[in-house]
Amino acid sequence: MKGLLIILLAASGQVFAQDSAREWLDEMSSALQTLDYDGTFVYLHDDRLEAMRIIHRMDAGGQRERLVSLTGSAREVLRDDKSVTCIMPDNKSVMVGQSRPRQPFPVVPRDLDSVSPYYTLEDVGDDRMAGYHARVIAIKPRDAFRYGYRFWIDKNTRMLLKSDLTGDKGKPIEQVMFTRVVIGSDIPTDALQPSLTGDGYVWHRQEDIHTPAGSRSAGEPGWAVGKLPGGFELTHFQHKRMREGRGDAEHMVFTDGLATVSVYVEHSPAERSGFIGLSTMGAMNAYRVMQGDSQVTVVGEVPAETVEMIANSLVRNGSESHD
Amino acid sequence: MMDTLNEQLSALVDDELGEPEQDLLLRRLVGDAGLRDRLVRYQLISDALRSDLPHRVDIGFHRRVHAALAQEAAIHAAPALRIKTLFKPLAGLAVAASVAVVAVLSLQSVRRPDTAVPVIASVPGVNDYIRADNTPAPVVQHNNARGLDVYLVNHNEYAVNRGMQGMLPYVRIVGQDLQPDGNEDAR
Repeated sequence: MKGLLIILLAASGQVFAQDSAREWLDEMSSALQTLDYDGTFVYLHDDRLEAMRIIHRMDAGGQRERLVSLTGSAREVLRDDKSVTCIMPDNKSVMVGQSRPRQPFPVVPRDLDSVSPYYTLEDVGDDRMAGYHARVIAIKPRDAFRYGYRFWIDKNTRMLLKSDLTGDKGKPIEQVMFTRVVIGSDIPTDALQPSLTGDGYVWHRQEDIHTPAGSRSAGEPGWAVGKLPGGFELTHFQHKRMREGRGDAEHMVFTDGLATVSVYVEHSPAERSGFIGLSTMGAMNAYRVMQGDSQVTVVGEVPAETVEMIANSLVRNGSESHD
Repeated sequence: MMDTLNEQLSALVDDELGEPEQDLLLRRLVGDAGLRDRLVRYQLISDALRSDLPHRVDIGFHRRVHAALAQEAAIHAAPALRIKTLFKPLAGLAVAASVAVVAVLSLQSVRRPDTAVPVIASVPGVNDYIRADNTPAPVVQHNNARGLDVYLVNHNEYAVNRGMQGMLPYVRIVGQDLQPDGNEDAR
């Protein structure tokens, strides 16, 4: 009887810890979207360190954000509720895409059962970061198909102060850490304006393709993934034009509730282009294969093995998988 | 060999390198621009970890200082700077004759932006933040990301939409050495 009581108490303690961790994550996600803040942070990945500044404002017009590189080339990303603009002075190019409406909270699914087969949440404890008292919350993967996370969250405002994306044995792959952040101050509109006009740059625009009634349905992908890690589900499918002058691409988005993977299939590309195989950028991995005259590109913040497995298992709908 | 050098650089930044090793490493720094760049990065990392990163980051400062000094016969810049104990033995050296010293002094300027530093090279201002250096950051790991930028931007919208890290997925766009999309077509 006593043993049973201990087991029950231990189990309830674990549930409480998971609930607490989820609550912190929900509130952090909310803070990132609703707070006004202006901060400088460093981005550590591979053997590199880069400093950036982020400015975020939420007002009646919605969210406005500006991310600026403070080292290397003066790249900027500007984002509001309608579009996302990337200005790359080193390439003399500007990319404009459509921003997507952010989902209402919570970020972490309320139904923990849906993620618990693949992740565990842990309330690690207290720490100090960027001059603020923080709570550390960890999300640990249960298999090798996805990464883990560690978040340092300001105890007062719930603002994210440091973020680690962790790989094998919890080793950090990418770290983002504020070295200075002012939370809740007035953000002048000028601070959200780009410092570069983009004059003389090459502009690239991405667009979703809205298929007219009676034509090919956007809801029926022409391709299917043969091998998908457990928990990942198709949440989005769209035809889109990745570059002007190119054919349209099928874009499928898969998520396990935390990690997101995109699959792009471009039919009859004008020419064989760019990389083939694996490309790694910190925690972001991309894998590209050619399937006949179709180019398959899989991108996601998941391990290399995951994007490779997904890319190589893609089959045309209606054809049989050989797995 | 590289690991040993990295460890020595790290120890130098942390003021934990023994004197004989320090002398050897500083001699090596004189003739190795790559090593000096790495030293600057180590210093930045050290500052970042101590939350001591200045608002203005200027990795190219020592290059401009060196270029400016190259036009001067002999300038002793050291007296105007606060030199950490570790670097005191270097303060009396002729700066023009020792690029390593320039690198070290530039570290001091990075670490202490409020310190009175003689104006040797001007820093351009852009709005309310400063981009003091347009030289691309040293690339340690070359990725193979030609033509990936459009996919990353597009994918990020879905990752951002999950809300977990706010704008942070875009740090990969801002921070990576992606190739221009036009180059891809030129292949």
